[in-house]
Order: sequence, then structure tokens, then C-alpha cells
Amino acid sequence: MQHALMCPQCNAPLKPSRFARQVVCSYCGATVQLDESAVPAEVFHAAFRAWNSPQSYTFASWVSLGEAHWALEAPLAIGETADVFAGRRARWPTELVIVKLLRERGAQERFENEWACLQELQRSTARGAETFAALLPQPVSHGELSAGLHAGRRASLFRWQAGFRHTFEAVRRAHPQGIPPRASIWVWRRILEVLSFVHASGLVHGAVLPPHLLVQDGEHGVRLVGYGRAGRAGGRLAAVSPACEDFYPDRPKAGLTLTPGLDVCMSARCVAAVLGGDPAAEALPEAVPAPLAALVRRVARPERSEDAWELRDELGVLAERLYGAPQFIPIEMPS
Amino acid sequence: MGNGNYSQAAHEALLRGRANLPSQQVFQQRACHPLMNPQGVKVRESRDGSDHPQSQGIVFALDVTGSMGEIPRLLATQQLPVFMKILLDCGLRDPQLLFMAIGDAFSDHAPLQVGQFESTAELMDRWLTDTYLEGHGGGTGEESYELGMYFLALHTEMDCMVKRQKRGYLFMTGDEIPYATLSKNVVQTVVGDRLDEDVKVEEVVAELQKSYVPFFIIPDPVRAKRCERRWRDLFGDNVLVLEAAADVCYVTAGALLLSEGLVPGTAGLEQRLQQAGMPEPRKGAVMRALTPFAEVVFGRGPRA
Repeated sequence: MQHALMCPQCNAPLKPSRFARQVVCSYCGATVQLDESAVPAEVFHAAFRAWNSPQSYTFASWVSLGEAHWALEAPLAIGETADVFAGRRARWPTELVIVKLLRERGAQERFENEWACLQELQRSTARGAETFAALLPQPVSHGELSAGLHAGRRASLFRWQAGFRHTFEAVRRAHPQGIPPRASIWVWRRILEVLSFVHASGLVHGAVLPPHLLVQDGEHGVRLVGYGRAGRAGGRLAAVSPACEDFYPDRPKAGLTLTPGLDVCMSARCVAAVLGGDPAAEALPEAVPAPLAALVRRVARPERSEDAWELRDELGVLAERLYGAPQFIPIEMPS
Repeated sequence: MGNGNYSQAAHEALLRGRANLPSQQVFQQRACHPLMNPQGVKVRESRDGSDHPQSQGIVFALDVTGSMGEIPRLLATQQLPVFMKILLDCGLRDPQLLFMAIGDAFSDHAPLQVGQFESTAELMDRWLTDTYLEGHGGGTGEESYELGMYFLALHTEMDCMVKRQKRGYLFMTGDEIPYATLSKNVVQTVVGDRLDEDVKVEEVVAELQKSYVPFFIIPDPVRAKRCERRWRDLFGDNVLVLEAAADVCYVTAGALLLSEGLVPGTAGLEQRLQQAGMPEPRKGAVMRALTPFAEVVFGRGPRA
């Protein structure tokens, strides 16, 4: 018995329905008995072509990275060197992603560095990796777009993480008088926890800045993004963000060394800013309790080098002394 | 198959007293049950009937390798009645469940076991507990999930799809990745089909999704590290990462309710699951596991 894909009488293609025992050739009318155990692989090849083709769905446009096609949706941000969009896999079931498209060719090294560092962090076996690696941007795909609207541009795709919409810059705008000092405790502790994992993995972020910190809607979550300047501890900081110079501890900025203390110092400056103060924490609002203000000032000073996890613990002790047991205080943001 | 009606009371009675039994007493098969052997099976059918006119096919494809025995045990001793209660309370009319067991075609004696679609508690329970928990696996980081998907794509037929163009549901549990290629030799040895060449796992998924809404359930974040990305490449946000295996019935039922549009939003879903007995301490973990899929269903951003 032969595989009945072609009519044995006239060689016309046969299209048997599922579970059919026989098929009538639409060309010559011959009735052909089917080998019930024969399964043509072409069924699967054709299914894949249809499934993976954006034209099979209602997508108006898409970008292609290897064999995968992604539809770009709302623009989310315009970064220093990249444009950031919401996106989704252009097939069903879909996957929601964040798409970063490199805009400035001259910054390609930083763009590639971010991908490499985040991959390295996902592979890290440092203590707490199973918890903290999940709190970092999750790499999905990376490379040069081969087709579509932005063909030729470098792209990095990360998993969409629900609820992280507002940067610290947006928080500062929404709370010009500062967030409640009690809320700043959990905000800072979340940053320090991630930094501690990054440092334990042998890396330094190098750009802990308000545009790289996102707070979670209605929850006690903070995400640290923007790993383009990250590198091995002891290396040189490649460049500083011109728009955020005050958040770096030293002047002149050129030639800063990547140390864990650098990240921790910058985290204090970011916290000072969302508390309604200046990045160096020289002027914090009166609502900030003096011991908390003193701690922020101490860590924001460039001459000290603090350990992220020890500082997290110290902050916890201070918070308990000031406020008692932790309370749920999400940061309110305009919808 | 699929005759008879579901009775919550009958199902709970079956499970009474089982919670503390060792797995070997709940699952007594020591080899593949002859009726679950897929060799030569032409089709497993989910059909409408006079007492269940709107049948909805649902498949649990359970990884039964050594590391994954906990979920079959949870379903057989505690959770399957809860899963059914949630679906029925939320208005899913006539669910018909099929249990399938997945192992490793390159190292297991029973790499694929397939029950029948059933409507009654007794028969659902029978196929589930007739499953042979071989408990091995290949140790290669891969299991033969693609073989199970192949069987479902080509050897099942559901009236929900045939008559109403409504897909069935597949909930596949596991903690490994599928083999990249479905070998024609494996297909012939295990199922009996003569596939004319090997096919890629992506191609098997492409055929599967024509008739099933597929979900892959990973029992905890630690095990997700070794397989989540690969499964997301195949199933996208239909990959559900649990924080504990004990959440499995709430998360799978929740995903089905979301997909069916039987809840108005995540708050409504949470309420439904709580009414079904979801323990308060598990609420956050269950909702976190469902959030990525819920955002696909309802759109991104905060939801009421």
C-alpha cells in the first residue's frame, strides 16, 4: 500500500478529510482507499507556515527577528539611545513583550552590553538567584530586524511585566512635595535587594537613575532597568547620562570606577529625589524624619562605599524604630 | 465517550480518605494500563449527548516523570472536584475531561498513556488513577511532550470544535522542554502512525492549536528557570508558572474562565476562586500566575 497523497490514476493531489478511510479524486473521480496509518508531514509543515505568518491574523504591520514576527503597539518611552514600544508575538497564542529598538548607531556597544549583562544575570547562581533574577528584565530575543517597518535596526525584546508603568521621574512629577517618607523605605529596600543580587553576580549597574527605576501599580514593587552601562566590578564606567549628572556621586564624571558602592550611592540619590529633595540629599523636606534623612545623606555622599544588603537591613531596623511593623503603602499615581 | 452526568458529591466521596494514602496506593498501575496504550488508537472522542448537549473537551496532559508526580497526586486526592466545581459554578456547561500521561519516549516503558473523554466523576477518576506513574524520565532535560501534542492534534475529535468551532483546552504540566523534533520512528513505535518524515515541535504545536487552546503549567519558579523560555517560544503567555504545585487547580480553572470570558475581570476572577475555596494565603500567588495571561485577555494595564 502506498502513501495516498497523489491519485495513483492521474497524479492529482488528494485532500482527504481527517479520519477518512477513502477519498474521491476531484480530478479523475477515482475512489482511492487510504492507508489509515500514513500521515504526511506536509500537514504539519503547512500548519506551521499558516500559524507563524502574521498575514494569517489581523496585524497591519510587524517586525521580524529570525523566524519570529512581532507586532509593535504603543510607544512607551524614548530613551537616550533606543525607542521603546509595547509589542506582542504576531501569532496565537501570543506573548506580550517590550521592544527596544536602537536609535543611535553610535550606542550599539551599550545596547549589546545590556543584552549580554541581562543574559549573564539570568544565568547567575548567586544567592537568591531564583527570586531576584525574576525581578530583572527577562530577555526574550535579540538581533537585527530582518523585515518590516524597522528592518536593519538592532532590537532587544524583553518580557512584558505587568504594572511597571511609572518611572521615578514620573513619580517626582506626580509628587513634587515628595512621596510619604514611610513609603520610601520599601522603595529603597526593593532597589537595594536587586542591587545586592547584581553585585553578588559580579556586576555593577552603573546607571541607577530615575528613568531606570519603575514603581509597580498598587504594589510594593520596583524594577531596575537600563543595563547598558553595566559592567564587571572594577571596570570603568563608559559614559554618564548627561540628563542625570546630579545622580552620579563625583565631578568630573569621566573615569568613574564601577563599584557596588557607586550603585548604592546613586540609589540614595534617587530616593532623595522622590522624597522631594535634591539628589545630593542636602535639602530634604521637613516631613522626612531626621534619622531617615541622615541615612539618605550618609549614603548619598560619594566618599563612603556601602554594601547593598547591609544597608537594606539597616534600613529595616531604622524603619521599625520610626514606624513600627511594615505597612502596605503603595505609591499613588494618576491613572 | 462522555456519557453520564457529573456529580460533585460523588467525586468528593471517591476522594474521601485518600489524602493520606501513599501514592502507590492511589495509583496502583505498575505498567501502562492496556486501555491507555495509544498504540493503534484511531481517535478519542468528546461528543455531545442528550444529557450534555454543549460538551467542552478539556485535556490534562500530566508529566509523570520522577520530578512531577506531585500534580497527579494532588488532582487524584484533593483538587479535581475543586477544578470541576469552579468551572460548573461559573457556567461552563458540559466539561468532558481526558487524562493523558507523558514521559520520555527514549527511556520510559510508557512514554504516552491516553484515557478517554469523560463526563462523570467516577470515570474521570478511573482514568486518572489508572495512570501509571512510571517516575523515570530521561535526565536529558527533555520529555516527549511533542508526542502527546501530536496525539491530540491527530487522534482526538471534539464536538465543541466540529459542531461549534470552539477549541478544546489542553493543560500540560511539566518541568522540562520538549524534544526539538518529533521522530517518525517514535510516532510509529508508540502510536502506530507512519509519519513520512520527522517534524519540528513548532509544527506539531501549529497543528495542535487548530483544535486546542494550549497551556503549559510549570509547578514552581525554580523549575521554570530551566524550561519557561522554551515553552513561551511555543505557547507565549499561555505558559503559567505556579509558585507552588498546590495552586494547580485554581490556576488552570482560572485560565479557562479567562479564556472563556466567564469572568468580567481579574477582580471578578479572584472573587470566583475565593468562593470556590481558594485559601487566602494562596490568593496572591494564584493571581500572579494568571496575570500575564489575564493581560493578554483583558489588555495591558491596571484592571478592575
